[in-house]
This record gives sequence, structure tokens and C-alpha cells, in this order.
Amino acid sequence: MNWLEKLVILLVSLLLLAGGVGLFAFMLGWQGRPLFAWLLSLQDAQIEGAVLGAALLLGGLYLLAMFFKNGREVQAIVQETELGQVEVSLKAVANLVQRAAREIPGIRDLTPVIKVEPEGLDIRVVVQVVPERSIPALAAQVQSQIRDYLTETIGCPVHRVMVEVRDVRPEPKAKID
Amino acid sequence: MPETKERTELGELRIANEVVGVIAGLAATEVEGVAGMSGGLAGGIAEMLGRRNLSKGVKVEVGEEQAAIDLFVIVEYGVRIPDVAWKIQENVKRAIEGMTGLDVVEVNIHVQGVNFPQPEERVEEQPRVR
Repeated sequence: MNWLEKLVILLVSLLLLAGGVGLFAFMLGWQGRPLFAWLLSLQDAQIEGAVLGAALLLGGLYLLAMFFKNGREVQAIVQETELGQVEVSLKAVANLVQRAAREIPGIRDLTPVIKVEPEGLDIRVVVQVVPERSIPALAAQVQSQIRDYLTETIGCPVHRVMVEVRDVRPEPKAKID
Repeated sequence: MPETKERTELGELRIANEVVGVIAGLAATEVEGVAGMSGGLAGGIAEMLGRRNLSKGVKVEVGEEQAAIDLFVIVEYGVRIPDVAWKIQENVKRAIEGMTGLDVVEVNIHVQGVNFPQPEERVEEQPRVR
């Protein structure tokens, strides 16, 4: 989930929360004068009201689009055996990728994004590396380690491993020896 | 409760679906490399309430003579998933067929997660001050 999705969910949740509290309080006998006064004041401030309405509309549409987009994505690798199917969730694959790559010295942090393509797994890893190491050599090591580890552990072909070096940061120093 | 019926000379034998689920759950968890079953939200809430659910992470579909099983498992880190999945399928099929007489036509395995070993705790804690 990226920051935009998080922001939209946060704003829509806050609005729903406020609406729910307002409705609940209204049902319990609150007159809601400040709320009505604020809604009436929007009539005078047409631009602000229109912006608020448009923001709500766009937020709602974005959430709907997210829902349908997520529903279409393949969430697991499926293999057929004599006795049925073996399905490995992409979350489990992502955990394995993280573990395999973190064992490489020089990798500080790693976030995998995994897709299932007809040719095999399509993996993009966003990494943070430590300085004073050859980045191409490190990236090549990440690629081969992930490919070998997943082929061995899951038995599924890996089509591509893309490495995106997002940041170079030194390892945090231990405060005590 | 849904159940499977079988006629014997002396009467009718009924096996509840829940029983088939428990047999499948136990057979799956005894396979080496299986860390546990993934029961989802309902299973988690039931366990929080102190109810041990032996058929957690198991979905069964039972007919008059046949059964199909779906198992939601968490595997140990370092195992070869296809091998573990195959052992689960075999063990579950053998256990259900042996105990209920049903013909197991499908055992689908859904690997939901990987369990990583916890880092070893330090044996003795050093005092921070002397």
C-alpha cells in the first residue's frame, strides 16, 4: 500500500467516523445545531463546499478502483499435484524473499513486490544498501540468491528479479559493546 | 451439523464433517516442516477465547462416499515447500481414508505463511551497572 492509498483511507475513515458519531449523537437527542450551522455556512462558501464534495467524490472513486484492482491480482502461486493443488500465498513468498536477501552482507533493508506471470515469478526488490560496497556486485548477488532460493524452496520458476537501490545508508552503530 | 452417513448391517453410521476436519488438521500438523494451521480471523478469536480448535485452518467438503479437503498451513523456514505439501497430502489422505472409509479425491494445500525461528535468547542477562 503506498502513501496515497494510506492517505485516502485515513481521510475517508475520519469522515466516516465523524459522520457515525454525529448520527449516533443525533439519534440520542443531540440537536446538531453546530453541524447544521456548518452545513448552512457551506452555502455561502460555494467554492469550499464544491472542493470538499469533489474531494469526497474522488476519494470514494479511488477506493472503489483500489477494490477492483486488488480483486484482479493473482495472490498466490498455484501448482498442481496428483492429489490436488498446492498454493503458496504471495505474502509467504515475500517473507522468503526478505529472509533470503537479508542474509547478504551489505543489504540493510529490503521490500519485495511480487507478481505472478505466465513465465514465472516477476520480482522487484527495493533495497537499502550500506556504503563502500560495489552496488552492481551486490545487486547481482541479490538476484542470484533470490532466484536460487525460491527455485529450491517453492519449486517455481523465477522469470525476473529487478533490483532497485533506493538508498545508501550506513549500518546503525551499536550503542554499547 | 453436516455429516456423512453409511449403512451397516446393524444400522447407520454417521460421521460429522467436524470429525473429518479434526482428522485432517491433526494429520497435517504432524508432518515435519508444518509450523501450524492458519485459521483466519474466526480461528484466532476462538483461540483467544481459550477454545482449542483442532480443525482450525481446515475446510472439508464431504459427500456420501468422497471427501475434498482444503488446508491452510504455515510452514517452517528452510523447508522445501513442494515436498512438505506432498507429505501433507499423502498423510491427510491416508488418515481420512483409514479412519472414515471415505475416498479422498482432493487435498488442496494453501501455504499462508512461513514461520521464522526466533533469535536465541541470551542465556544470562548481564547487569547494566556494577
